[in-house]
Amino acid sequence: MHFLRSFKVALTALAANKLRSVLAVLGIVIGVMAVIMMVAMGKGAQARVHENFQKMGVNLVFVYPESTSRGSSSSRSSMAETLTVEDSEALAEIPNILNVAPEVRRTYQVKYLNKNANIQVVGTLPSAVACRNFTVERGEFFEKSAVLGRLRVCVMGARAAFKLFGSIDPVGRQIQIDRKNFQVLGVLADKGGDTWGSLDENIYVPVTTALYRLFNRRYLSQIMLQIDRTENIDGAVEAIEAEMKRLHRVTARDEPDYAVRNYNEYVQASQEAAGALTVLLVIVACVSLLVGGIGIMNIMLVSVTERTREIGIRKAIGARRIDILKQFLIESMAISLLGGSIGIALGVVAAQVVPLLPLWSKLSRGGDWEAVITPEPILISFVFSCAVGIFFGLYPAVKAAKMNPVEALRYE
Amino acid sequence: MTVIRAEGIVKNYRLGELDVEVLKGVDLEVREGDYVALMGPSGSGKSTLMNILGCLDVPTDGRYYIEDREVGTLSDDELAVVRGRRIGFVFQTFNLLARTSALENVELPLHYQGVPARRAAMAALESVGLGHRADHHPSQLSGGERQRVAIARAVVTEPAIILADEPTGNLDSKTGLEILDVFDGLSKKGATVILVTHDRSVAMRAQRIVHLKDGRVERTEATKCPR
Repeated sequence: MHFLRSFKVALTALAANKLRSVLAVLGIVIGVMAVIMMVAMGKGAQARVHENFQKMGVNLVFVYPESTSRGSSSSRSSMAETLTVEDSEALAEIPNILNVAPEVRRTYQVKYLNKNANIQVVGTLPSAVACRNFTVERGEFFEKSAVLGRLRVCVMGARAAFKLFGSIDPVGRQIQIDRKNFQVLGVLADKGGDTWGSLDENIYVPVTTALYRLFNRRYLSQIMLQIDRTENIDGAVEAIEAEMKRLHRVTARDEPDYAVRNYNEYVQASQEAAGALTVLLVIVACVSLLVGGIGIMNIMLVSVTERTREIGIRKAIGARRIDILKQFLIESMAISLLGGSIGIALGVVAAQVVPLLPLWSKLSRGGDWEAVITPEPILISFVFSCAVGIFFGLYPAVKAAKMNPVEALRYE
Repeated sequence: MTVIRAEGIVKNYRLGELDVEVLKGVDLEVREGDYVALMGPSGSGKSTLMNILGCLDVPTDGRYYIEDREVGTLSDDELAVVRGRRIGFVFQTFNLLARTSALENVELPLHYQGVPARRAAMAALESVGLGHRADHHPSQLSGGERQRVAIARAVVTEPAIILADEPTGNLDSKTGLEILDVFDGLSKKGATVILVTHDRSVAMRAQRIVHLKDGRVERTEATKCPR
């Protein structure tokens, strides 16, 4: 029998039991919708991770202080006192290093007129602008002269500026950091990097000012190095390790009091994590699709039993097993294809609408999240829903095909 | 020409632990154009014989030939093909497909054979006087009309035999007579008809009556019906 005719017969059979068919279709709709949405969201998450890291800067290597058993008594590594400005100057000499930005940071109470807040103050060099991909929105960043002169000047991150100044332009004004006057030279553009420690919420001062006039300490929180090309990173890391070993006089048996980290590896790890998350979400969605398939099998079994007489009649007038099998398989495929199509359409719409809902931004802590719709998951979902229809419809269809016509005709 | 030849048909059923012998050796021969009635009390095995003659079931022993071809040993799918092409069924309970038009019901056997159906089906419907009801569903037809659609479906494939199992059983006497008239008409046109019934007045319409008792042919009775 022609496929189209069989399809029409299948639709007639489904229409005979509208509620039941709708419920079976619904199971597939939910499953497919979940798959589409999870893939879109997951890909959006991955894209966002990638975007954030692009904003942070590429080809970065960090040197952190590490507390060792023979080192200082402080246990938090950011306070371990082992990295010096001299270290960073020495590292700057290593070939393939584009920029070096030492950093020291501490939170202080910062005041403007009658507004105050606890803000993290970061001492660094002008090279931080290149390293961290900063954009100066207003005014300017401090220069080498400020570092040499240990001037009390600062540049504010976008959110720090907003906290103290609101909509007033901070450039040229005076703020008090730890009750010492600092002049605001510039404001940075919003980076939105919320990967760790929002950069927009810091105030940046010259590292020398920070060390000698503010923090009253001699050791750095970290040294950030930018390598010129990705290919050179591994070589540079080796050179940095060697140089640090030499500078800190670390012997083979000692624990080094520093740690060198390739930021790109971290990025990769994060991306893999995002990727793994996507896979996990999709697996969960697939499970719901399978449940929808079980629903189909359930419905078709009931349908086959109810239509025992009809199957007997068809066999009596010449239907072979394969004819009956095809008939019921097409019916279950009709359910799954219908459900799949609707599910894909709804999934695509939902993936684009949900990130816009206010509830979503609450849940994702204010991040901008765009779902990424690509043709592959749609195609795969379609094929998968076909497969579900065939797989879960097979057993009932075989059951129908094997029926004994004499007994089937006797069925009430 | 011999259309049906049944030799020593034996049929046993397994009921739990017991083997029940329903048919104990039935011989039957039907020639082209014959109009035969099968009669017997309940338990005589006439339904079982009917099922075997109609290729819905296979004998446990014995041989069964349709148009000189042995069908007793065919597989399920081969039997289905024989049913579709060479046999036309008419049931007591009509057995039409619901939610399907009369025309589509009549077309169905031809669809399963994969041949064009529309024209032959319309012709068959018209031959039973229901051309004007082609689009109606069984629920919109009277009992007699439904049985006529069933008869149209049975003849649309131009089968070797028409098997009717108590065709008037669910009809009132007047409609029943109309249906028997249709069978008479078919027989006159040369169709081979085997009719199972418990009603003697129905059986008398045939040319001969085969009486079944306890799984065997008890006797064959010629009626006064002219050919």
